[in-house]
Amino acid sequence: MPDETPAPFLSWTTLYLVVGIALALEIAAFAALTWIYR
Amino acid sequence: MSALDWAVLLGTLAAIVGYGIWRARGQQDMARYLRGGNQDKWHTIGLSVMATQASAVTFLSTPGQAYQDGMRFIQFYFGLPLAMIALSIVFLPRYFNLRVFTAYEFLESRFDLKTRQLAAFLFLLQRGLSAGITIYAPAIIVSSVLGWSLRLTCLCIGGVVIAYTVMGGARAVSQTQKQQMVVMLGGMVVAFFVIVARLPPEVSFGNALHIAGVLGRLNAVDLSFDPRSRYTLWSGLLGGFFLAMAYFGTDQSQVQRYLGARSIAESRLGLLFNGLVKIPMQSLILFVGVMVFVFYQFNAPPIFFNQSELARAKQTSFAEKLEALERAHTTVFEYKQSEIWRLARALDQHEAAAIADSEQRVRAAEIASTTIREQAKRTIVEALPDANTKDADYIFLTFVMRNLPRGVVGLLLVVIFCAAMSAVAGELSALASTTVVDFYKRSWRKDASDAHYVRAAKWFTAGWGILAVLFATFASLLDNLIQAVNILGSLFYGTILGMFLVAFSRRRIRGTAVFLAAIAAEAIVVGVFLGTHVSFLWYNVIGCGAVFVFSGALQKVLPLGQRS
Repeated sequence: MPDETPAPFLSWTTLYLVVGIALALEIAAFAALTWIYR
Repeated sequence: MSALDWAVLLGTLAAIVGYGIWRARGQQDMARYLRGGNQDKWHTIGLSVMATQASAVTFLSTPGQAYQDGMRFIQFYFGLPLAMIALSIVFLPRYFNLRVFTAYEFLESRFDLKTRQLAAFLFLLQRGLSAGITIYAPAIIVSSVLGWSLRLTCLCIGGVVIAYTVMGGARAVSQTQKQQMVVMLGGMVVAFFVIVARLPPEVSFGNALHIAGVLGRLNAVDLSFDPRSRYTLWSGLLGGFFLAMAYFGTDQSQVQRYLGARSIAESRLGLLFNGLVKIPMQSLILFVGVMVFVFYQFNAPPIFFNQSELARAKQTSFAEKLEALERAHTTVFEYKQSEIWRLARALDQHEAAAIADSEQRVRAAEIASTTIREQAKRTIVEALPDANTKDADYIFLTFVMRNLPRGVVGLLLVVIFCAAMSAVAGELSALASTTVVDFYKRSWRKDASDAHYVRAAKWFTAGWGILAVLFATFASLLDNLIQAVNILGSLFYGTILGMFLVAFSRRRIRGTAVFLAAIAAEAIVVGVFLGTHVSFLWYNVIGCGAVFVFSGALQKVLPLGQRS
């Protein structure tokens, strides 16, 4: 089965990075929430 | 429940089920019935993967968990986005290249039949039993809070799911799941805003967060390294990663969802969508629980949220003691409420000394309140030795029924029923496809027509559904079994994942070595479960690692004839 790219302007690596960065930001946000309202 | 709530509940459920059956109408062949005909786009895959994972207990228990234990459960999901990336890179190309119907088919192409059927058998054992719990767990809560018959509730949930899953197969499942997931997400957003609007108008959202934080409910991240602590950042990232890899990569109820995609790209996008949306969705559900907790700082909560169990205990000679505890609980609540008001005013006026002073008093009152609740639970057990004192599952629905407006109650019941139905439908469809593809077609009736296998799949779907409903209906008689089944899933996942990862990464290792390694790894995981207090999230890492190590060693020591 041919392995297409998600969109002409977007590579899979970029998309994986987006998901990884979103996770890092979420963890940072939760850590901040824990620290601010400790 | 009002007529409006009934109309919202029955109307929405009928519309979703009708739409799913209508979309799946027409001639059925194996590829269409078991894989949905490979027509699904990424948003259907993403929502349907999420809907399969989100059972009714997710919506009933998670807010209660946040109410009692705070936000730290969110760490359980931290490994999930990373697992979605790993699955997209490692698992999907292999499944799509072989055009498999089930994940376990891949194991035969790489190892041998016995390894494939061992993994398929472990899946059937675990999912077959848990399908009953997926019906029973919400039914017991809903029937208890609303006063419905437990058996009738189980039969209604199970009957409707069996009907549309048998009729429409995998396509009906994914189409209904897409609608169900939209309703579930929408329902929780509405719930969140309605609950925040029910807080006293003088209390700002910031102050509500501050109150929750002072009382330990915003403890989202725990950096400690204690392996006995169930949710830490590390167990969430590492254990959660392995659990999500195993669940989404090797559990047929999930694999079947993304095998129905139009292309591997749509399938990947669906999984990555799940990786992006899952943590925000779970945060929303946990935040709903935190806001319910703040609500109950200004409105008296019951001493025990499972009201029918409390009422039963009050019919014994312990009634007087329970009523005394209720009075003490109310007194402490009133004191705590006055201190919380004082804290809110101090926060508004930015008075640091008054804030610190009030925080200390509020915390002390919370400890007193928790102590009284624990005493009440012990008294309930003294009164009723068979009583279930875990009332976290009852908090959210009790709150909804007592405090939310007409229409919203119906909407949240729709959320709970949608969640139950979507999870059960995914499980039944996967159980039937594994039974047909990995056992019936592979070992019993190898050369029948496509139509015969579709008919067989329909019978197996109905059969597994009836078993699940029977299990759910009689589950109350088997309390210990329910606990065992809940643990069962986490006992097997690591081993199954280990078999797949060995298949992908260690070319020299053959079937017999991995088959024996899987059995040995399973024995170790069961040993760790029985003999230690290690948190269940680590079982996946241990099981997976053990298969890796043992299969490598066995491949070297097995007699030559069994090495290939």
